[in-house]
Parts: sequence; structure tokens; C-alpha cells
Amino acid sequence: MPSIRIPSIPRTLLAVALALPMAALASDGTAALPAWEQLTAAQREALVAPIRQRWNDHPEKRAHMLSHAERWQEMGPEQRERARRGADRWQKMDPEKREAMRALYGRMQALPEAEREALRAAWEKMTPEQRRAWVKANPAPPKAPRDR
Amino acid sequence: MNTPHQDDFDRRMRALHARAVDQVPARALYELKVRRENAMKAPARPARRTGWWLAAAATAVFALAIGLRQPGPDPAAGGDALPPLAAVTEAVETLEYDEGFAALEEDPDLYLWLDAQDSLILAME
Repeated sequence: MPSIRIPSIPRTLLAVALALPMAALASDGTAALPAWEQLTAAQREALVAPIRQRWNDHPEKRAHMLSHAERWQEMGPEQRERARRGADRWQKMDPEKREAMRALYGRMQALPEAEREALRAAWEKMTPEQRRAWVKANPAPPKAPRDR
Repeated sequence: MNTPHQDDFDRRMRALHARAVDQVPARALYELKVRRENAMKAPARPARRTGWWLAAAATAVFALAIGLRQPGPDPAAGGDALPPLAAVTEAVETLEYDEGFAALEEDPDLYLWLDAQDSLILAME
């Protein structure tokens, strides 16, 4: 994968590994953990190990992981907070709803604003069977690393 | 008073629980330790969302055990065989994966978009 900037991987993954769980803990008010630089080597290892394993176990997902990590870094605090709320929603969805949301998201990105609203209105009026048929007819586009 | 069958079930569940605990990743144990310490320092308050996955992991292991063992046949025929540890481990790891990797698995812009889709999601309820 010549397009991946290898030197940035540790920085990016560490930043995500740190930012997400730590932010969740902080929002809970339950943790007074220090900044990354003050963590012990064992603590850092505990945080990074799952991501490293995921990275090594799934070469086919590396481009996506890196691309998504970089996108998280690009977001400002307010955007990150909204994205975290969206991720919470995602966690609570069953596979069928996730597939529907992927399909809707993919479709809406390709539509002008007026047509997005029309699709949104139509979706809200559909029966579950109609939604399933729509998703089948408008599958989510294949995942591709962000093109930047 | 428990029947021999219930005693055996209890023994098997305790063994299964012990084996499942052995499989909890070091990161989860560390978080549990930190949260326990902070809980002891802080005044009592309602449980918050970020602890959900630990509860879910425990629930998944318990549900798996129940699903595999009750009201199944008399375990005497199966000797000391426990539910496959791999299945328990997989349940725990799946939950850990969901919690830890969703951020990198999907496009963050999908999450951003999803946060604003109240009407679409409500329509699916």
C-alpha cells in the first residue's frame, strides 16, 4: 500500500486510542487519569495493544483505519462530540438498521440538498417492508478509504 | 435445598465464570480497577452509559451460559464438559471490539451524519 504514510501511523493510532476512551472516561467524571505523556509504559501498551493487533490481523482494513483516524484528528471538538453521539447511536443499532443507515448515508451524499429532503420525507413515510426494498435497491457503496 | 442437578449446574457456572474472567483483557481489568477506585472515592451517583459494555459483557457471558446449559439435558452424560471457552471468549472479544474499534471501522462522517438524523431513526422505531 504505497499510498499509506507509514511514519504517521503510530501518531495517528495513538491519538485515537487516547482520545476516544479517555474522553469517554472524562465525560463520566470517573477518572483522573493523566495525559498520555504521564502514563506508564504498561498503561500505554494496554491502550495501544488492541489497535496494533487489529492493524496486524487485518491488512485489508489498514487503509480504512488510517483514513478514519486521520478524519477524527481533523475534526474540531464540537464535531468530535457530535460524531461520538452518532457512534453511540450506531452501537445501539442492529445490523439491519446499520445497513439501512449506510445505504441512506451513501445515497444522500450523492444527492443535491432538495433531493435529500425529498428522500428523507419519503423514508419517514415508508413501511418497514418498503424500507427493506429501498435498501436492497440502493445498497451502500463499497467502502473506500477517504480520497484526500 | 438444591437438587444434585442444581448443585452441578451451580458448580459448572462458577467454573465457567472463573474461566471467562481469565479471558478478560488486561485493558478491561485496568479500567475496572480505575473505576472501582474512583467509585470508592466519589459520592454515590447513578450509573452512567460508559459502563454499559462491561455490564453487557457480563450479561452476554451469563446469557451464553444459560442458553447452553439450561434447561438442557442432565449434564451427567456430558461429564465435566463446559461450554466451549472459545465461544465465551468470542462473546467478550466481540463486545470489546464493538466498543473499541467502531471509531476506526466506520467513516467518522457517517457518525457525524447519524447524529443529526433524529427523524430518520425515529421513523424506524
